[in-house]
Amino acid sequence: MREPEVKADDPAADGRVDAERLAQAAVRRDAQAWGTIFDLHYRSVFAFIRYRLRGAAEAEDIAAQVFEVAYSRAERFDYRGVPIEAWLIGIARNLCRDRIKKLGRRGYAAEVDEQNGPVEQDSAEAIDLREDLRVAMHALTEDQQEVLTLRFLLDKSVEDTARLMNRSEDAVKNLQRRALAAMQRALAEAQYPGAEKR
Amino acid sequence: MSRIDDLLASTLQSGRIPSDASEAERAELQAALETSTKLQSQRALVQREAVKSMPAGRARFERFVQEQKATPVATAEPRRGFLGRLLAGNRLVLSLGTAVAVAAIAIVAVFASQGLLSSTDTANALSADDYVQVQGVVSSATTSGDQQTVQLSSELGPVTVLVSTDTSTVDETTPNGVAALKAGDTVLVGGLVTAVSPTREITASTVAISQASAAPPTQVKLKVLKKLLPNLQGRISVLSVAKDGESARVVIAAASGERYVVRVDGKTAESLLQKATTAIGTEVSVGAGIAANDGVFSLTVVGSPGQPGAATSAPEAARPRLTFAGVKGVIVGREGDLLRVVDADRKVVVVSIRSNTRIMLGTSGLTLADVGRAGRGLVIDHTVAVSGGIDAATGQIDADVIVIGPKFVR
Repeated sequence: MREPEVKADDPAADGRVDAERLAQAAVRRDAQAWGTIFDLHYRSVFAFIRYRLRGAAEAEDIAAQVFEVAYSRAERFDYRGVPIEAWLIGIARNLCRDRIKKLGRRGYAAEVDEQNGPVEQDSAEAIDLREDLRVAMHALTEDQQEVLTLRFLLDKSVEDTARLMNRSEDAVKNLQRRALAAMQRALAEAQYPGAEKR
Repeated sequence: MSRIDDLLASTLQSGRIPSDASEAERAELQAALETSTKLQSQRALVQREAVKSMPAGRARFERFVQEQKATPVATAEPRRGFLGRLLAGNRLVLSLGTAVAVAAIAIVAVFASQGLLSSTDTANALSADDYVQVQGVVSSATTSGDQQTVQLSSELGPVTVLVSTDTSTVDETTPNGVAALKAGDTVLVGGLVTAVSPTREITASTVAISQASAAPPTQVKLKVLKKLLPNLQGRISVLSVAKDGESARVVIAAASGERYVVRVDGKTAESLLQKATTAIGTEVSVGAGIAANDGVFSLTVVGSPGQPGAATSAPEAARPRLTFAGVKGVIVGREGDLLRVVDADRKVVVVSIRSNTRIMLGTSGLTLADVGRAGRGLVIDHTVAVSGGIDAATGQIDADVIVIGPKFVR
């Protein structure tokens, strides 16, 4: 039988938890292991989803669903060479697609503003920037959104991003350049709507 | 890979544009760097939101796991043993076996009915995702980063309480202070049940603290009240409210020393929380519920909440009476997650709705969607009772439970 391979860059493998044992326990649906997985990865999953959807409440809902789906499919998880985080991010990606597809049918844009109330401790400038970034993010392709989220919101290295997106590092570098340029244009449009059309 | 991709990767890593970049490349790299800085500026906010939503997400996941475990799994018929194979073809022997089994079940049923007559059964008073109020004495506390893990001795037995910077604190000696808990402190905890097995775990949203010394409560076997017992009266020692706010459970300490888990409907729980910021310590008598024999009862408050009554034993009366912060009044404004409430003294109190705040709407005529962000104006003019902690920085109340009542009639 082939020995399971544990990726050193999995957050679970940094000495706090034995990633391999954790993954094996996860496949057995061990409740304690799943509690640990939730605690280790919830924040990353939430952040991955946050700017793709309409607000924190929706991100919370989908993030919770990610773990429910993962738990339901635990026996299908092949941990050899696939870090748990990548598996969860993959599920999050699919759930986001489904949600956006459903919202698209119901009129996504009309619902956006209602879901994003101010966060009281933020300055008006910070609130404006967040709103602009959210609007701009939706003008990007899915790959562009994903690379910007992983690189700048989750602070993943190019190498980690490549692994999570299942691409080469060169492809990620190229994608991040195009994504930043697209974001810059979209931000200008968000701040001065219609400016480019004149 | 193109040269500009490489230059950008290097710029993003070092924060500086390489000196060999041309003017055109420099302009593109500068713009990309600025855009990446804007995105990075959101990192802390997103992390804050993630941390804030984590207890609710964890409780939901825990509940999901429990439900999955409870779902029966289809299993293959077990292989017959020697005796099974021997009897498999003999109908007469099988019929006799069946008759013996039926008789055995009947005997067991007679014994079981004795248990039903006593109306009680052993039970756990908590489910994952419940909002719970429980009082106890800290037996140990460890700190890791900005989180404290506290072991609490309570009437439910040992309970792990997670306290973090998101937890509001109501300190008896310094009302707005945030104090680190230590062994011997008596605490009243309000929060979400994030695990029930193998250990009970509460992620605290509010903790009220007293440094007054008190003996740890003794763990007593809990019994579920199934049939109404005459003259059952006692002190509430635990309150738990289901996620939908439509059902609740209390643990009642009767004068006899027995502890009963009593299921009540959401309106009864609302009524308790409208009278005081915590139900713990309230003396109640147990009455019949709306529907007969469904195991759901009503409670009537006897005496003033928080005052020792007839069912309070001497050690219980000596325990510090802790309460949460709160306000009762009328909602006059709503902005995002903030409610403005005018209390009886015409003072405006700001209430913050947290991601794990339990909102109860029984008598309001509203739905949760009405109270959500989209329906922000619909709660205005409704009466409200809020229980929670105080934000030391802003003085606003961080809500654990919000009970919204009918519209105020002027």
